[in-house]
Amino acid sequence: MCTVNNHQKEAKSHSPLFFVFFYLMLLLCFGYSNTTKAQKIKKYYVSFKQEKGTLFFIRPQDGFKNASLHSHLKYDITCLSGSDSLTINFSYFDKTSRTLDSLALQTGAKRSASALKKIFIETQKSYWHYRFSARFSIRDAEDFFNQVMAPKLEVVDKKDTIVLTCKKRTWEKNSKINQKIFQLVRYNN
Amino acid sequence: MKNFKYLGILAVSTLLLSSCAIVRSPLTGFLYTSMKNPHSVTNNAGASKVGTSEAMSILGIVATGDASIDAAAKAAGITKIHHVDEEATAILGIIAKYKIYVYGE
Repeated sequence: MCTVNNHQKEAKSHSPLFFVFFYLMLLLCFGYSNTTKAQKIKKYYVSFKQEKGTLFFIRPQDGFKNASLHSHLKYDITCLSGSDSLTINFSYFDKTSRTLDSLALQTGAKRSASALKKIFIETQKSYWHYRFSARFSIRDAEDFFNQVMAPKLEVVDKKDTIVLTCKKRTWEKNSKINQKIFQLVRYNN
Repeated sequence: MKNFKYLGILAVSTLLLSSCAIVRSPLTGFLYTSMKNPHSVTNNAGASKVGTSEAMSILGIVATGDASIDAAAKAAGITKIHHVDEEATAILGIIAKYKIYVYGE
């Protein structure tokens, strides 16, 4: 009788909130295993094999921001195996109207800059959406993404230079992904 | 008995939710869908650029985005399209994403 009562108490102790919590935990675990493991990089790039070599496309990544200007930058990378350069297409969102001139990868010890090629400029709500393309050598890009501490991106305007920084956690994730993809590009040369 | 009731409610809610955010895909998974499949091919030779565009749905209640070929081609400055791929992702019918990849020059 005592045992039966204990079982009933146990059954009563599982409130609906427990099941909702359990369900949310399951969802979180599922989401975690599919989004944050840097080793599983297949979903972060696509590749296309053709006569000239394999074309790698690293899907759009974001995280670079300028807190004072409330501006942010989202980029994607395209590179062809066998080539010594790659293309960084980026969208820069800023509330100010600007004439962008160049993009620079700033690692502290090294600064690599590239002239920009305009793709389009549009408006998105209260922001200007600048879509530009820049070319960098694979070595410079690798040096940039090999940095342990988040390096800086500089968007150079005709008048000033906008420095964009990235949060440590976002940088750690993106740099690991990109390092591994660059390895793949090298192996496919 | 109460446990079974809650488990039943969970199972039914999961089933209902899974049918909410549906994404276009040749094959769909009840718990998880991640499919990449061909969309179209042209006669143009070679591709050196890739552009992407996407749309997203939450619980089948809100769906936003521009997953058009035009948006993807525009994002990479592609004027000659070589081929187009599409990708569908859905998690438990809660979040669904549809992406378009345009390859070209």
